Amino acid sequence: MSTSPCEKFYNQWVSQKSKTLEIRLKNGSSMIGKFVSHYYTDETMDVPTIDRWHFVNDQCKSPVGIDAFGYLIGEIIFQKNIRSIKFLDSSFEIKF
Amino acid sequence: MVELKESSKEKISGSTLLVALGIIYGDIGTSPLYVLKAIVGEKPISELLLYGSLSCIIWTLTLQTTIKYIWFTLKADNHGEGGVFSLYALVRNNGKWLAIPTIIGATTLLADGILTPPISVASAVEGLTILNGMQELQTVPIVLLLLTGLFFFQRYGTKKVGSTFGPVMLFWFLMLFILGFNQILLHPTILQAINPLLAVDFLRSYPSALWLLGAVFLATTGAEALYSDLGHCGRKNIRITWVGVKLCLVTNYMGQAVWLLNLGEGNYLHGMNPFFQIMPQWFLIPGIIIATIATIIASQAMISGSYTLINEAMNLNFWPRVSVRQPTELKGQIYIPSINMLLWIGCVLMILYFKTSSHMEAAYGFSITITMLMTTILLAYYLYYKQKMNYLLVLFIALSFIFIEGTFFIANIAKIKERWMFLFFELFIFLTMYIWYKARKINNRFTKFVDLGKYVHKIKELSTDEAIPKLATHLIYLTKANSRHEIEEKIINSIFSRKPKRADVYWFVHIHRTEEPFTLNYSVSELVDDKVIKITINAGFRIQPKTELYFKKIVQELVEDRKLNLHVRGDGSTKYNDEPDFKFIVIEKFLSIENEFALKEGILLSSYFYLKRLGLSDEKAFGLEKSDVLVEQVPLLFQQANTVMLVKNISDENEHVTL
Repeated sequence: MSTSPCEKFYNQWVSQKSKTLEIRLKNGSSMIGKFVSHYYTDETMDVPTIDRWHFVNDQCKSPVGIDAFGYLIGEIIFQKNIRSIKFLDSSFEIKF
Repeated sequence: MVELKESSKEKISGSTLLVALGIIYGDIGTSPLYVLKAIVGEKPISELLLYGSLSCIIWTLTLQTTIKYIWFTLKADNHGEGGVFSLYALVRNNGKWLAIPTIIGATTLLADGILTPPISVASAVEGLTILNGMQELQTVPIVLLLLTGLFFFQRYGTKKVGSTFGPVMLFWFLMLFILGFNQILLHPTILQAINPLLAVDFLRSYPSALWLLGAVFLATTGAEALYSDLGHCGRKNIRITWVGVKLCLVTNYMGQAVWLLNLGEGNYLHGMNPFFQIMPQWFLIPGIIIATIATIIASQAMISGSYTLINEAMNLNFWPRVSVRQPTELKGQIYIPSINMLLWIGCVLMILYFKTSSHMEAAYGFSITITMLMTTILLAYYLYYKQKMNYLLVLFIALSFIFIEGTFFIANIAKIKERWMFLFFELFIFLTMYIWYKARKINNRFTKFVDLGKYVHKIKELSTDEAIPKLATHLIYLTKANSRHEIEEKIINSIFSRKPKRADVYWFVHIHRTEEPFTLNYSVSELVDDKVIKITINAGFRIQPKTELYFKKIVQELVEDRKLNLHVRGDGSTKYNDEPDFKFIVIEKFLSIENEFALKEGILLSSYFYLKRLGLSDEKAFGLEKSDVLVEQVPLLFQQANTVMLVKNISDENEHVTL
């Protein structure tokens, strides 16, 4: 990851056991839940950057955020729309 | 074709220089067969035309071949390899848009490559028509026969005849020198053509001189090949041999100019080829034979270069996977049947359409000017970002060559009307590369990755769950994830959804394409001891991805190092067959009908999946032909339809349900 806040967050996210997050978007809204997966802008580049996250709320049972019929649960959030992310258990917060 | 060993490439000896002569100078070395004939054409002979055009040839070979390619471009070696894709691999992280000049450069190189064998061989064979009693000889069938034979024998490689290429080309260049030198002795003032002012005067005074630069440019069309073949011979060998080659070429061009001058001011060439006219009568037959062999060697270099180009394009994801064979044990020698067929058809059509080398001269060279312009752009990035050259100096170098190549490009524009059919071929190559590259990018953008660590315990639990029938002892997935923590979501779905796939060991194999050409190493991460293992194989862009072979070799090494227990077969068949029970899972994507596209994305992705069907299947592309492979189909969802108005009929009432 080329952008350092994104890289910092990713490393923290990978190492953190509890991944419940509070996400604030640039449009002012906020939500609590977790990221279940992510997409890269171009993972063939040597320094790929995360482009989007698949976000589900804390109650979601499916580990991959997909229901029994194969449909998406939750929503896709663009990294560029995120203002800040806070890990609820450790209070670690990162601003973009 | 004989290639120097890795350690020999930077050594200089008689044999290394001979190998360089045989491999890289075929194209540029056979240009004297047609350059002056193309320049003079049907124009009256004049001193201004001959001295001026000769000066242009000499300075084109100096500025374009010697300074740009021999001096600057050969610096841009990618661990010893050259060519447009090697250069792209060096600078691709410095600008995403550089993929476009790379695609254009490769397309145009391949397109003009189709004319190289016909023009060279036809020019040589047409020499027969100056022999007594053979003036009416039909050369087209002979050229067709020679080139068809050449393409047919590609499948057997050039190991046996490759060693003769160097001596033959040495003989060829000596012949060029001697023939030219004999003529210079008759008219030593021709040496004045070295003066660049004569070229300037010619461009200023001769009517339509700019358009004649299109023919002058034919003298340097082979310069790009010097760079493409860098990997075969090494920089020093190319630089040293170029000194001799240039001397022989210039001497021969001068000799031809002397013969033309002796025709007399105001006279015409009447279709004669000055190249053969400077030969003594007794030498004509051997001269034509040597010329024909030299042009076949030049064609061979072009054909081998095209295989290498497409192979690199495949490994850098610019071309669909097609079958690549190794006809001999020589490292780097490959044979691509589909490209061989494409080139053969292209060459045959060119011969049938143009019929004579004179007609081909009018069409040849346009694309190469574009290739050279694209190389200049990539080279400027290389000099600035990798060589850390001063910004202003790089700008000066780039603009100087863009000016020269831009002038040649304009001079060659007139050739479009003679080569309109090439535009279809170029469009086909360009679109194939562009669609493959662009659609893969879109495809990759929609590939979802998950944290593998989150699933490790679940995988472990599944592995020991006796209630689920065991699918295989070792289950192997190919993954695109670079990071050891990650894996594609589709792999997790494949393991757990529908019927869960139980195995003793789960392997996730990632092939990482490096920007170095011949890297081949691996690393192993055991996420759960003997249970969940991720392997990253770093393979250079010149390496064939023989996944099964590499994987089994890695497993063998892990077992020998006592880092892995191979496990017995779940069905008790180990006593009959002690080979480990490996099962590869290949996940193939298809375009789901649930997608809703914008026009551009729709066309790109539909074309991509169509091309994919034409190419090799994933299991063959990854070299898994001999393995136990299970292919799974998963839908690729890009833009899923958002809402559906579905009407539910209950008795006579309609109930609208919005999903």
